[in-house]
Amino acid sequence: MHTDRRYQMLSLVAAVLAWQLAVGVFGVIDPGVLPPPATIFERTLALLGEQSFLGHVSATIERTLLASVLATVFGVSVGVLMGWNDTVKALLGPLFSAVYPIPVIALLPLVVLVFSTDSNALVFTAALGGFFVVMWNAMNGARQIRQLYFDVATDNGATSPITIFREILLPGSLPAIFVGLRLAMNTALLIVISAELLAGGRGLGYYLWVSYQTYSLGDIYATLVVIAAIGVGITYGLRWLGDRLITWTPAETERPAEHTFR
Amino acid sequence: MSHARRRRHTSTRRLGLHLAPILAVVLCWEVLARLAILNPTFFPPPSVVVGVTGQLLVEGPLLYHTWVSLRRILIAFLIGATSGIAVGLWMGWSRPVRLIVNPYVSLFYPIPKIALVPIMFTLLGVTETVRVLAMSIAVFLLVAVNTMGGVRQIDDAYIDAALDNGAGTLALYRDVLIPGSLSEIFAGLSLGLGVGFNLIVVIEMLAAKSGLGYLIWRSWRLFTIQQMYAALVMITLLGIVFIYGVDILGNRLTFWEAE
Repeated sequence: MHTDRRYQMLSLVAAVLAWQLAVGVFGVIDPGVLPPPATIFERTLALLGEQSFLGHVSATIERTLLASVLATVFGVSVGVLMGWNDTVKALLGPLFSAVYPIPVIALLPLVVLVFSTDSNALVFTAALGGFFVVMWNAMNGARQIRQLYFDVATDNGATSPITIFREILLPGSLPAIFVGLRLAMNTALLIVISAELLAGGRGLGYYLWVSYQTYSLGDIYATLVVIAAIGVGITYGLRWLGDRLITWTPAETERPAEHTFR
Repeated sequence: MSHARRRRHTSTRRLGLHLAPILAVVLCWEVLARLAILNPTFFPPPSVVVGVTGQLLVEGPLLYHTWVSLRRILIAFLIGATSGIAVGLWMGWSRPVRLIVNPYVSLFYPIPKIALVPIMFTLLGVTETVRVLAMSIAVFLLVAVNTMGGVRQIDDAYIDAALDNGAGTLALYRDVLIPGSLSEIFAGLSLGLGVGFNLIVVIEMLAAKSGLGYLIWRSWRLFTIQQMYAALVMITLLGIVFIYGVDILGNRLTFWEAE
């Protein structure tokens, strides 16, 4: 496994090196089109030193986090409720299935009209996208908890719904919720960047679009590097955190599946 | 005979139960908008939306923009799906290929794909090819990662049994690797469609003069809210056809996994 990882790193390093040599040393590709990686790296560091750019970074991160928190709070509560109670599922399930195929970004103009401020509309749209992913995963997580656990809990006097939620439903669905959370944060980031490209005023998506329109090639690449770093951080950071936090799932059960709907 | 009838009866009943909550919400919306409790400028009653959609389909530009979006989605999805499945299978089966290709797939997979669009426009120009390519890259990455995961979780016993019985490469892919990873492949297709639809809409809003995303954006700018709703109805219909179409196909093909 460790040698595998080493080979994979080697593959990446080789490509970066080849790219640097091709552009920087031999001049095979025009650096005005594709700058060498060292130049992009320098430009990224320089941008990260600028106060105004950091403002854009924090705007995007703030919006993504806020949208993810909203998506998680509502997604987990509704999802767990649906997985636990069949009547709730019969009522809400068809509604969510009907709305799910709408690409949420298409709703942005409508949401802007209703909210009247761009920033709140942006967070709401991103939260809506994340909500569905968390909800389906929480629901499936809650549904696969064995009846036995509920029986043991009620026999031992855990009768209030709050106790059942805290002691069984939540820990039982947490592995699935974590998968949902990771997908939700990725969805939220995608929607936030898209919305910022369209109508941000602030944020990395906005900065990316301005750089594109002024043809500042270095800035386009540098912003892309920062956005990519956030995306990579979310995906692999949350996977790492989930493996550390959730220690009670039996070893033989594999990672829970990723549910997009149903 | 009575058995068949009873089965048909229960499936109609199930469909009814499924549609009831949706109809209830639509009815509430209709009443609230008619009574002007919901602002009818922003939330026109569903009956009006349906009427306007029908009218714009027949007389207006709606059919054309729907067709343009449909064509983009279809081409991008086909390119992304076939290349994603092929590369994913290959990465899952061959260790050297995995070691070389996987780092790039893993690196690009978590990047919000829309961030790649400005650089693609800069390098390749604002063309129809780039619009389609952007969505196919998103589909490709999600399908490739899921397919690889699917191949890798196949029990070695199946592969050994096939090889011991003289299966060639083609037979191995056809009889073991593809069926064994089919449900993961379809999970990837479904994830890819979700991201891809968003992507094509943003691209049409940002940098196109046609398509449903463009129509939504223009309707917003011109404050023709009813036309915006009509475009939303059409993009939702496309979403339903693609997402549930792929889902139904996946369930048919992986019938052995049905509970």
